[in-house]
Amino acid sequence: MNSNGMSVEPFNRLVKLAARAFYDDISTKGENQPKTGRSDNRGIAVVILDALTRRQWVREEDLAKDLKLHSKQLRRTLRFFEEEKLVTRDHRKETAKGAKIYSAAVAATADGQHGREGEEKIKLHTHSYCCLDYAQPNKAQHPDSNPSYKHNHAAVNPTPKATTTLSTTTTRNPSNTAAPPRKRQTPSHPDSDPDEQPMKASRELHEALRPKTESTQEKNQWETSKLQTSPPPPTGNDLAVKQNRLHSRVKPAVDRGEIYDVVRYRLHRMRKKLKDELENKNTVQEYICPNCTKRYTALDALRLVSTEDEYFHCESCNGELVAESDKLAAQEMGDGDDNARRRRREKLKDMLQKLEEQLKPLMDQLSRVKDLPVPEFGNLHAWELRAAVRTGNGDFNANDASRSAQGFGGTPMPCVGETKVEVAFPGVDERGEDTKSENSNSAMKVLPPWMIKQGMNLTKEQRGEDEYVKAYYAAILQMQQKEAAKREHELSNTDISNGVYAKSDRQVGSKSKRDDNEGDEDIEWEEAAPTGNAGESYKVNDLNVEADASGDEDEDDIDWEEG
Amino acid sequence: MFFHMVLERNMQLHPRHFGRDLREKLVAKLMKDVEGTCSGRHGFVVGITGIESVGKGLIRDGTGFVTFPVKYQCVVFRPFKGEILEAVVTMVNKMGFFAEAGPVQIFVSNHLIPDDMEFQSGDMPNYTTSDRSVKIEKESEVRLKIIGTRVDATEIFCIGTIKDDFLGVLGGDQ
Repeated sequence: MNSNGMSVEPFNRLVKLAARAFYDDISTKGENQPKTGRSDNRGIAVVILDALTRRQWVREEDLAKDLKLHSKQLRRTLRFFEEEKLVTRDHRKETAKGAKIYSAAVAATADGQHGREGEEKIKLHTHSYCCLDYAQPNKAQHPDSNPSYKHNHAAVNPTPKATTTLSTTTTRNPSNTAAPPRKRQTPSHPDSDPDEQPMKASRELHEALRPKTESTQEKNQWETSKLQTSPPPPTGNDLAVKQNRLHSRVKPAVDRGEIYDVVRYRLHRMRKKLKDELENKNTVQEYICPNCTKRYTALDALRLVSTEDEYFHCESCNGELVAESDKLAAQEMGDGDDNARRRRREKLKDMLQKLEEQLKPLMDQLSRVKDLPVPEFGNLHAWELRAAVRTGNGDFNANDASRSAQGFGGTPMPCVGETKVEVAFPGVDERGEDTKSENSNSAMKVLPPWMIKQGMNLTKEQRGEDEYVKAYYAAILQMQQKEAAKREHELSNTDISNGVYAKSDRQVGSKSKRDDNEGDEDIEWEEAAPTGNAGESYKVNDLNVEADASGDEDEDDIDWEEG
Repeated sequence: MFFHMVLERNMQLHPRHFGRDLREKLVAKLMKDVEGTCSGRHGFVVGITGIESVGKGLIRDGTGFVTFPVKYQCVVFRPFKGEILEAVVTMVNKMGFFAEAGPVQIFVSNHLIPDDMEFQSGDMPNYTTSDRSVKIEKESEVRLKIIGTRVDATEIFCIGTIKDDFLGVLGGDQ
């Protein structure tokens, strides 16, 4: 158990460090919301990330409640982190029953949470979830080598930050008065981090760098258009609208392996930016209009050049443009042209050095984490299944072994009983369970599982080639007949076969109404099975029906649920 | 970089050109229309070197114009990032200088000019080294490296640097 905790702890620390270094100043606001001092929620991002390090998958509503945040605000921040690739979210439709069970699970997990804070907890939530994205094994291990990832990342940066003008590396430019006075909400996480303070300067640097990356990105778009990433995956919210009685839930989770890459990439970009600027290598000069803060790059030069004087002029307000890199490092020296560049170099060197030393803890943590197995929670479904299995068995040790092998850190569920039902809920299984429970009394095993699978194939192929399918089913029927005959001979046990027929009768009875719609298909089966006895042909029909029904599952679920 | 390639274009020809020298008229019009244009995809069309094929003409309803699909060989010039070009300086200002390499315009911003060159304003604004041995002014020839291109549908613009080995003014002092 301890070893599990150990394996996650470095990652958690990494997350916390990164949160303080980079996300301390992220404020997530709706575009239409006025930026008043009251709605200033900078620092919340850190709190949320910290909270996520103490959880695995967690329902968003609960997280909001725990943090006493408005769920909208939380969601906005989480979406931001999702775009930053720090957090995985999962959206799922759930039934009212699922919610009930979920709340039971919450009650269960809540206890454990108070007991050991700072350690990973298993949560059996089934609603909107989030989880730190520690591991996404499919993704490229080296983000630098994955340009699409890179661009996506760069594009993520919020544009309003474009106004960041730094007078020095450590103090904010007073001209930035439009923004509210910097009122950082100190993160209310229990374990305040000693590394927080020294990071601020570098974070600001990072921030100052941010808009640059972005606009360069834009300008170079045509070059990299083939590398552009697809838009972020659609959220499940649209689904929710369609399903009237099912709620779509989102579940964020912190993604730690991913985080490792994200942080490394971020550092790399920061360093590269400074070094490039230091060497003046291949950097596209940027210009900014001091009046309207509109930004241009050297690629716009042709449009900006004016006939009257030798400066560039803003397209919209005709203000004189200022080279942006001068802003970054050499503002206080004025626009002195001769020595400015030389002094800028020194400044940049200084900055780079500062960056190195201030982000040292973060880099140390990165190297510490490098060789550790990445804790992976898997996707929500898998995670839930595991959790449910753990609690269901009540055999902690066995499951812990498997868990630790996969690098999970976590404590066992304190509450065992309630969550047992959980496994059945995700989508398809549910229906299966219901049908099973109908005839759980009878000898269920007579219908072999491979038949069900074939039944699924059946419908698929039916759509395609009829001839083939006919032959196929004729063959199946023959086989079944043989089998049945054999069974009758060998066992001569009428009870079992009765059981079979009775069961299949019942199943057919429950679904034959829908079956009526597809009369022709039924006829075909009958043709294909001229000698089949009643029970056998029912079976085949039954297969057919079951597969067909799978499309309508959701509605069925609801009916059964409510009834 | 130059490419020799085959492009296709639908040419509309006025009925008055129909006659013995229809083909010549068609080619002349094609040259007039295409040479010197810039497409973001292929770059600048420098010149037509030959006609590959002229397809069947299609009479447009109402106008009497005929549309011929023409395949032609041409030389195109497409600047690439990282490419080294020789260019003529066209304008010098405080922000850097503009240069032209054939049809393409290149801007070299002042931070991509070597640190030892400083801007001198005046009648002929220029960038000069402190020992006055090297001078970049209008009409100077420079060798530069393209570090960024901006390609629109009908326009290509580049930014370049002369801050690298073997880049800068050609022909030494003037």
